[in-house]
Amino acid sequence: MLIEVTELTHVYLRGSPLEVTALRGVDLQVAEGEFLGLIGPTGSGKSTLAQHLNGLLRPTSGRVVVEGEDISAKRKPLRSLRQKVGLVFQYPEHQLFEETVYDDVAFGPRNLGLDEAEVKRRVHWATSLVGLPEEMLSRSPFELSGGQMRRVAIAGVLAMRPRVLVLDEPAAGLDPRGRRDILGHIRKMHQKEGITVILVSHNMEDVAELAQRIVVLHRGEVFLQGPTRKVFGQAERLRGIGLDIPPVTALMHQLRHRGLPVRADVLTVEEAEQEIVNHWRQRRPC
Amino acid sequence: MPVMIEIHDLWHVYGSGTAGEVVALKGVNLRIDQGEFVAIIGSNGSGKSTLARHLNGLLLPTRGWVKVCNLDTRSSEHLQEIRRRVGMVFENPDNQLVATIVEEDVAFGPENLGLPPAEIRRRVEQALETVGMATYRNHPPHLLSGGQKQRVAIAGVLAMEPSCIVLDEPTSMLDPQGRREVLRTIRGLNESRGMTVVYITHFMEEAAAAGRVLVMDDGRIVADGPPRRIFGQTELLERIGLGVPPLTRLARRLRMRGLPVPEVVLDAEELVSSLCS
Ligand SMILES: Nc1ncnc2c1ncn2[C@@H]1O[C@H](COP(=O)(O)OP(=O)(O)OP(=O)(O)O)[C@@H](O)[C@H]1O
Ligand SMILES: Nc1ncnc2c1ncn2[C@@H]1O[C@H](COP(=O)(O)OP(=O)(O)OP(=O)(O)O)[C@@H](O)[C@H]1O
Ligand SMILES: [Mg+2]
Ligand SMILES: [Mg+2]
Repeated sequence: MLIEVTELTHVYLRGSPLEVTALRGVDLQVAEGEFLGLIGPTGSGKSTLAQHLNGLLRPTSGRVVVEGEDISAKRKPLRSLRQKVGLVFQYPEHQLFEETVYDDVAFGPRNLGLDEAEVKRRVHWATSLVGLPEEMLSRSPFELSGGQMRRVAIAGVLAMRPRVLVLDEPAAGLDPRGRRDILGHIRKMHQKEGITVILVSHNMEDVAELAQRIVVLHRGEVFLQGPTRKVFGQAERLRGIGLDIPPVTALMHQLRHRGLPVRADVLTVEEAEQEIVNHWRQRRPC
Repeated sequence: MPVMIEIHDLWHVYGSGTAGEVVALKGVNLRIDQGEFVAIIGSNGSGKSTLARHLNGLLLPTRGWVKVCNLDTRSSEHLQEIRRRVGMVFENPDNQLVATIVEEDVAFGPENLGLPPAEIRRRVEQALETVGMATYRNHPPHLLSGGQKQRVAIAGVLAMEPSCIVLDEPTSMLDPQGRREVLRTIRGLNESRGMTVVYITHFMEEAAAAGRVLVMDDGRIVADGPPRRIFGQTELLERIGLGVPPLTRLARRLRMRGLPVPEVVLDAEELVSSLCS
């Protein structure tokens, strides 16, 4: 296992009247090369869990082991871990701090000790991958639109070329093309280079399209987990905690309900199209 | 219907005269009547948030003018009245949450309106209930999860009961049920109280539920009409980095394969009834 989380509990503001147990005995295994979707209602603990995976937060109790290294036990700086595991924050503003877009994206690669020529190559590679035009590199990251900031934050993490990507709502604020292109690139990196991806998202459509397996958090505990198709087969349980199934999957349920015997476990527009057309060809309209 | 917002030849230039000058709005003309529900869509950097910030005088025109209820935002004596009428939910809730506890944050707007304390308490309570954050009333906003912050920011504006509400991607961090609830609440206020709504979003299916959709591209409004007309213009939308809602896309593909589906479908019910009629 690449990542092994065992009985992880995280308590914020321990001992104060506002104490919050954000994670409660969470077990999670992620295999090398996996694409995992992490979903859960507002406040269920997703970001808290994500921040444990690169050592930004320390467990209150329990263990987080990454590539055999027990990072909960360590007191020493976690530099090597942060190089291995790249985390894109839920709000990009929490991640940007340099004076120019270029320097912001270059920060990680420079920290890896790469020479300036390689840093430059990485910055250009990462910014073009997220669709930021050349002329934006000299601008301040704080004087950009929301979606442009998001792109800078993603580029900054990609430029470090981590083996594990933890993405906390990476597509929030991206326009439809940006969302498709950037998530598409990440899928390609996963397929071609075998990087491991953990995608935290409220967008069931994106998760359905990308993730191989899903873990559902609810009130700080693992509520449900399994292969994507299986998890999205449990519409009622998901809806019961404020989540949902992708819109095309919901449509298939409605069609079945109205008597068209289509398969309901489709996840994408393309699958739905094929399934509906097949039924239509067999001339069994409802 | 009386006019709520009127914009004439609005230009906005950031960093005017510097090397990094950005012309974010390039001659926007727009009229929004009281009681309308208008969605704004457009690619990243097309000028949506800049336009939104003109609607309550947070930004002032480089050229042209903006009037809210006939009050020109360029006159500083109007600003207080304009901000009383136009409530704004920002793209990033961190820029909005000011107080050290949730309850005070939501009370901040109503207090500024000079309302009596009992009325303020009633509104704060109701707004927190509406967004499902009543149990967090004593928490510090900066220690909340992403979606919890977004809910509190929405509550703060609801509590002001403005006659116009401008929401800049208010559901970007909400879970599916939260998204539906926020949309239902806003639609309810629009229908029952005639509150004017300007709703910026990257979710095409949310825009499809509005009465009118504005499409922005490179600082200009390039299309303006009811959702059915806008989402029939697939080529335009795709050229500028947008698209159509997923079910609209599915319906188009089914139609191309010869199924009896209308050209523009906006929701599941329409698609189901065309296939099962
Ligand atoms: N810094 C903090 N201090 C105290 N409590 C916190 C802090 N960050 C989060 N919490 C609380 O911990 C719980 C889990 O928060 P977390 O941010 O992990 O949720 P999430 O699943 O990422 O939610 P969202 O979908 O809204 O982003 C919430 O109840 C939240 O209020
Ligand atoms: N404070 C600022 N200083 C300088 N330029 C800015 C500033 N804010 C935005 N811009 C620029 O103005 C243009 C319009 O930005 P705006 O934030 O209005 O876009 P938007 O349509 O809201 O995009 P998004 O979908 O990414 O939120 C962009 O090119 C952006 O880089
Ligand atoms: Mg979160
Ligand atoms: Mg914006």
